[in-house]
Amino acid sequence: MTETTDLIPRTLDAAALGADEPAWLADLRRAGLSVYRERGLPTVKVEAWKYTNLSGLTKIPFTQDDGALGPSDGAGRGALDLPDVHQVMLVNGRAVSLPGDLPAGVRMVRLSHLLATEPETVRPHLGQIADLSDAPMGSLNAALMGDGLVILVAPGVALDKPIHVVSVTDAPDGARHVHPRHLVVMGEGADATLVESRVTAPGAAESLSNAVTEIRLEARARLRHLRLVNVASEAVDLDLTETTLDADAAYDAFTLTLGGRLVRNEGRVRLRGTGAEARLHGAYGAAEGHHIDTTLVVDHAVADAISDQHFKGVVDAGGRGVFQGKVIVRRDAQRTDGNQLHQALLLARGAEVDTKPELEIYADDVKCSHGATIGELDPDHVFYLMARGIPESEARALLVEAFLDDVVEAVPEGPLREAFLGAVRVWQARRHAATWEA
Amino acid sequence: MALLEIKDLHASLEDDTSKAILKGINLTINPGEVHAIMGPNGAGKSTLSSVIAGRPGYVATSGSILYDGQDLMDMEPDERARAGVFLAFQYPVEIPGVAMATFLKTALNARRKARGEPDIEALDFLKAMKANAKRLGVAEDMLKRPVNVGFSGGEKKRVEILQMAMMEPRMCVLDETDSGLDIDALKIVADGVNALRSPERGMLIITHYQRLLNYIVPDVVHVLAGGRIVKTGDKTLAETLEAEGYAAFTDAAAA
Repeated sequence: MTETTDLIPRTLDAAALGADEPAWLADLRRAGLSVYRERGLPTVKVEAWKYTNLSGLTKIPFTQDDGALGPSDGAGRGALDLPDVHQVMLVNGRAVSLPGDLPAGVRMVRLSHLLATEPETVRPHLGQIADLSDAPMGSLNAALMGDGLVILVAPGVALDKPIHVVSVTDAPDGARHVHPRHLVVMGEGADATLVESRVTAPGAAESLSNAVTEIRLEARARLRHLRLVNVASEAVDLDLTETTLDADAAYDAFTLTLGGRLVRNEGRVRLRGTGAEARLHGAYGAAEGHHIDTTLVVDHAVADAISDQHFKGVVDAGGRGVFQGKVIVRRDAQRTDGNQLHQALLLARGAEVDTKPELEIYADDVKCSHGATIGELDPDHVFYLMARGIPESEARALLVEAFLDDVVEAVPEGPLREAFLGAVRVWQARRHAATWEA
Repeated sequence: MALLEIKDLHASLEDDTSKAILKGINLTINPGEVHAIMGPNGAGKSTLSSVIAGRPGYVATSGSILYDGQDLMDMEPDERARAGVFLAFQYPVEIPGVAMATFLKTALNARRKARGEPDIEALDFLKAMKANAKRLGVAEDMLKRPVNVGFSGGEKKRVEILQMAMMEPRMCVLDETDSGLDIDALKIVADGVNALRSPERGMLIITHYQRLLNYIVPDVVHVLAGGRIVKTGDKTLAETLEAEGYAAFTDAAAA
């Protein structure tokens, strides 16, 4: 019989959870524990996890991160290289450096610090934005949540430059699981660009990062949320981000995922104010041994809101892409405009993509669309480029970049877009190198 | 040494090698010469250009093609291009997402890299591109657009010649470059091609009609029918064909 690991030891006493924390937080942990104990690690029989199998996790001898690690040598490798940003580095969720020159009205603080010093600042939001009762891994995060980053932007404040969070997962001395918990609250009319690079520390053992991020956008707030997930081939990286938008708020998200043994980017957006707009765009590249899952739920709770999901995947032999996109239009959400499109490019035989679009519409005056395509590189395109002297590998790389072109446009032009394109180019070069070695 | 020397070339589609399309082509083009190949539909004209350029799906089952003394069959399409063989496509493909200028620069730099030269200076590149665009009546904003996307048939052909001018090949193969061109565009394209005629460069102009040859006057004209060159002559052969049609040759090839 193989030994299996339980992420929550059976012996853990619910009453002991959060013993030295505020009662409301302890309650939050116990609620999470109860859901997770009831449901356990999701299996492929759970519809939302149909294509992403976590059973391999039980074979890894994990221990929970203790929140004490500092940055190792080379920590942050693989992150975006961005000039002129407010940069912060997190190791297993805990900030190891915080920028000192933030403009007035902007706070970036460790969650642990806020909980210890002013819990009432966190209380109205933490666990209030995300409903995790149907999310087993989110519930696990609630039960075990470690440190994380809190970003608070006061009403009317526009950030002078982007925030860049370099989030490093490290497991220097054996497999670790870690449950970072982040919170972003943007006051009325606030405006910010939040860039995240999720990477693994060089030389880390196997890891499970199971993060939850809650984002609240108050009326007319605008957040551009750009993410690079560039984790190691041994890393399992689960992220659940839940965003609520009040009236006329705008959430522009772009997620680029380039690897990882198993990555799941789960995005839940609740449009609860009229005129709110959410654009969830992204791209991923899955090479051999990589599994990249994008699961989105956009909930139109009120009338006159707009949502747009557009993801593109590039999948190589032995790689797998999963896209589950759901749009819910509630009874009152008249004149909803909701679109969804997933397009995959298969680079070789043995690449796999699973797509599941879902529309749940209860209003009658709506404009909703969904689409999914799967294709290959056009050999006529490859030949045309080669006929001009461009070597095949370069021609293919150029065409892959061209395929991703329209989703990458979601990233503001300039150094940000260049950085994301640079990451795509590094991924392609690495992929070609691997092909040649084989 | 001949620039291009085709000997007893037999070729077919890769999926059906039992059916020969080219059945023993012999053709020698020396530096400085412009040859025209004329022929009816189905004669094998496009197969010939495809085999020279190395298009996937076509195979030479026997015979040889030497370019500047090198066996083209041993070279990938990109190697052929970098060595100086250029095919102006009959149907240039549209490639969304790749800007024309990026494509041209990448192609030029691939050639330079193969020769051990550094990348082209951005300014030199822009200057050359603008000068060629002007000469060929290509609007500059077209060069900012994705490769061939939304271009009219005539614009695509002009841009093919623009690429040819930028690449400075030694052996130019023009596959039905006249198709889809009105008379004004035809003249512009022909002027562009004529400007590239030089004592070092060879050209092979493949066409169905004689019209283009009024503007690009060939040194030698071949008639291709039924996969073979059935007649070779000077420029007057093109006029004869225009007047009398291909019937005499197709009948001869079938016989």
